[in-house]
Amino acid sequence: MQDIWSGRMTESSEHSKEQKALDALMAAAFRAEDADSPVTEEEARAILENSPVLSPEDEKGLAGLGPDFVDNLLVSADTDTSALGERRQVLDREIEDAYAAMHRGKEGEELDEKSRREIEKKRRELLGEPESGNEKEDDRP
Amino acid sequence: MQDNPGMKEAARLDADEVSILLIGTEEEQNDAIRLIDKYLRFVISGIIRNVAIYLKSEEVQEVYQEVLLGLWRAARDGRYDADRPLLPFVFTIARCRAIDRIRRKSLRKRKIGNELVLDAIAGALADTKVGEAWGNIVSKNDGPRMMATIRKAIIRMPERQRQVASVMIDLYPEEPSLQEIREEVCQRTGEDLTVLAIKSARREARKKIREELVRAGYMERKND
Repeated sequence: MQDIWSGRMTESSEHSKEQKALDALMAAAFRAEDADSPVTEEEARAILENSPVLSPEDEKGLAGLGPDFVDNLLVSADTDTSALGERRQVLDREIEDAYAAMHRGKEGEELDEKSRREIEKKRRELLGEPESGNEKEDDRP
Repeated sequence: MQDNPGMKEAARLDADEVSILLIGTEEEQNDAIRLIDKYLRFVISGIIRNVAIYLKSEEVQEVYQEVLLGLWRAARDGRYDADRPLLPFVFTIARCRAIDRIRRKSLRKRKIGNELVLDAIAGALADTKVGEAWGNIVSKNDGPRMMATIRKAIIRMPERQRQVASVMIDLYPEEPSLQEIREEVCQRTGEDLTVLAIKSARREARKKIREELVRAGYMERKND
């Protein structure tokens, strides 16, 4: 009788141990996803090559956003700047934080005026635009 | 099988073009956001979903909108830096937004990047069949694919099971009681489920992960 009990106890303990190991794997599977660190170029490439999965409901909802989704979003953001309320500050801070994280260890590499002009030139070449007044204004010493 | 319907679209995005548009005129900035939405909608949302497992689909969409608005506002305010690669920046914003959302909704702080968590994972896997299977897979450099299998299994679970699994993941290495899981699910979703419902969802969630790992050939089927 004692052997049966101890056998059951052992079995139950083993089961619990295996269950905890499975829970550990579940936790491990999402550890890399929630790091506070910025996404590197290598990670970004990996994300594009093997995009993170969505639930079937997510896919359906996103597919149903409609063709005017961005236009409506931007119109509402443009006309009602207060719509975000306190969230606006959080979003602003987040942009700054993301840059700060991406710049970490790259101090001294800030975008200088020459680089800005080169980017602007590239932009204009790509879009086939003439030089604008704004650009001239930007060229002021 | 393609796991994310946006993968093909994403590969066609010209990140340089979008970067340049983001430092252009207001209309060009709008065009940039349209292009990001066109090519990256599913990928960005996938990043959000993989961080914020328990969010409802509508909430994933809300966070996605916040990502687009954040980028748009950065461009409008002249704070977008076209000299930096676009995609890491966009994906970082998506990840930060998702983390921010779950932190606001959770009763307890999520343990992120905590060394103790990693130690606990290693400890739990030691001397188990699951751990042995994991060790074999890691030795074959197939760990990331197995992790992806688990993530996929959890994300594709019915909502309730996914919510329960997410509480267990977020609170790890704690072993929350059913009542604690119930309270956390209620805080996050507003749904007051019974302890029995939580227990059933937890059992089903574990069962599905195991089945998925067996199906993918990572573990042997149990004989019991």
